[in-house]
Amino acid sequence: MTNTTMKKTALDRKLDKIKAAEERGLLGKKHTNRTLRKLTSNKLAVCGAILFLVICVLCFGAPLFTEYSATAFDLRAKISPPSMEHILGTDQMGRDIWARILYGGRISIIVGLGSALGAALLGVTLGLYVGYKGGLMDNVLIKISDIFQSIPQMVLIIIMVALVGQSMENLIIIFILTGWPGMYRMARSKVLSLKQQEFVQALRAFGISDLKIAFKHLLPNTLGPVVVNITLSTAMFILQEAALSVLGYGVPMEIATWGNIINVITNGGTIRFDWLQYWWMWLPCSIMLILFVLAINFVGDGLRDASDPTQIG
Amino acid sequence: MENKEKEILLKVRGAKTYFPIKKGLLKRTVGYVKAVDDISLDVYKGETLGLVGESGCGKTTLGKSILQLVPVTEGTMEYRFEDGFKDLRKLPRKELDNARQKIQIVFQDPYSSLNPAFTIFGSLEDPLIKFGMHKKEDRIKKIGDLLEAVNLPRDYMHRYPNEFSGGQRQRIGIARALSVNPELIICDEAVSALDVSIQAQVLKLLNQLKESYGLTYIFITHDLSVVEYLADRIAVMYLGRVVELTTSEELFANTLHPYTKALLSAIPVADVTKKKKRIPLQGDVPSPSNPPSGCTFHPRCPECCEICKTQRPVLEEYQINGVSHFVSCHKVKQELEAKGIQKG
Repeated sequence: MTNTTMKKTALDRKLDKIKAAEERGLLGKKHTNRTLRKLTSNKLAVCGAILFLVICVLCFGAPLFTEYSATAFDLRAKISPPSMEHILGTDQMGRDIWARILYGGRISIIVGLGSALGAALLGVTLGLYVGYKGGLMDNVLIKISDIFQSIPQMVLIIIMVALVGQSMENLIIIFILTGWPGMYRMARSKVLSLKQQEFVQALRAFGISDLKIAFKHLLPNTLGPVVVNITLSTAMFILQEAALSVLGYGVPMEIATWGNIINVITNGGTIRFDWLQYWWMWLPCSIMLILFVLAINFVGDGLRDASDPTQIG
Repeated sequence: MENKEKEILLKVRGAKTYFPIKKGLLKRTVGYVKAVDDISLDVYKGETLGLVGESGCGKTTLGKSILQLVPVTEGTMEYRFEDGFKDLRKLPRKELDNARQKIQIVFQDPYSSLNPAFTIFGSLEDPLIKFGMHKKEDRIKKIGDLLEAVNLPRDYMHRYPNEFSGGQRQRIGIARALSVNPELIICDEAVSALDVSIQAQVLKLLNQLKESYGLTYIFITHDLSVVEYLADRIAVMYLGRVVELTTSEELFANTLHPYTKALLSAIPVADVTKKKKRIPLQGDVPSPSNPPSGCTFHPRCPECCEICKTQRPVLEEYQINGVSHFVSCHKVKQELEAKGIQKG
């Protein structure tokens, strides 16, 4: 008899503990957002976010971390390997690589992330509303996006640069213009399948406005693929900016961007460039680019998982 | 006869919902799918009207037409408001939005009828805001009450749809329809996606709610045993038309239309010793874009005669055993007239 009561109390204590924890958890649940909680419990996403922040602080606070300028020549110190003076060495013009990476990051991040976000904003907004409304507007827009997508993107960009000129702002606008059809199609196809679902019919039966249905009730359901697409196209735009710079259509070559820095491999100038020997000119910058793209991907994946309620985190 | 004394809530007259078939580059209309083809019926306050028929006979389209969720081609749908009957089709957008408070719908598929990205609270909140409940505490209380009304715990409102079973989701769907205090609820195959034990639960719940909220149901289903349990009157539909309409008891006791007879003979009976005479129907439901001439049922009708192939029968009302019995069949008409039962 005493034995069983002993056992029971032991078990009871255990259960009490669980119950207390549950109550605490429930209390916590009311105050913290579930999406946020899932995001912060995702280690990879947190690492990505920290990495992203560190890179942004380094780039946008560049003068704090280097005393060199990204554009000043120092021909006496050209092509010098990493040393105490230049921690990542210098390039053919004697410009400090570390400074160039930091200052170049500003433009690369703005161009890459800005274009991706801009394209997503335009494409998703149009895709959600026009896709939901359907009709003539949808027909016209899908044809327009067909036209945009059927012309090779690089040719389109070159034509546009020739028309509007060469600058960072123009580059972003051009990337948005060439990037929105993909986003538009993705959001539209998702909305087309969603709008047949009965919860949308139910909202219509309540007389909820089309705008509210499209942007409040359908948007969260399209967010997963959109976020993944944003992270992928950020990387793509950074690399595309680099490719355009080679052709002389991107940001002018003398301004540092990650793309321009890495381009020394292909654009060796008069000397035959031994890229294995001069590794410091491109390797650190490539690593920086990879880290940045990875960070965005991790954050994006985390956001996607956190915003999907069918995934328990 | 007793129906006449009841108040009419909804008068549908000559309702037609045609979907255009578009072909070619210029999207020319080459024909129509006649999903709902000239339907007239009354819905009385406080009753349950069962709407039965095979797949593709236009039951769901009729429901959605009443709610103005699909464009109606022709006809009138007059609903009784405080200030008299008004045609739902002719209401201006704003008034129609308010009318939507009166008529609600419960959907067939519990898995697509709730937004997966929102909690139950998030899904049910917007209609309440629209109809004037601006304080969040009020909405939390109201949604909690609704969940309790459908036998679910209050705090389930903070959960996501994927955490619920089909039956629970269906009950949430019912709670959503109830949230704006409607008078008429259209249950579109509301239990056909559920297994039988859960069906019974939900049907029982629907019956309880009908009494406590004073509701009227239009119950769309293909399951005759469900309407037998639930419905006061039953309308049998075939290819976009009503072929027979009468009270539930009368329909089962005194089946007139050959199509209804065939449907009833297909209900399985839980008794192995009983041998039922099945009336098998040949072929499939014809395409509603190209319905047969005359009576649309004639190619499959076991009692088909010459007149059926050319002349379309009309839905006519007879008084049989003291209740009104609508039927549209040449053969039945002849038999009834031979018996001396007149139209009334």
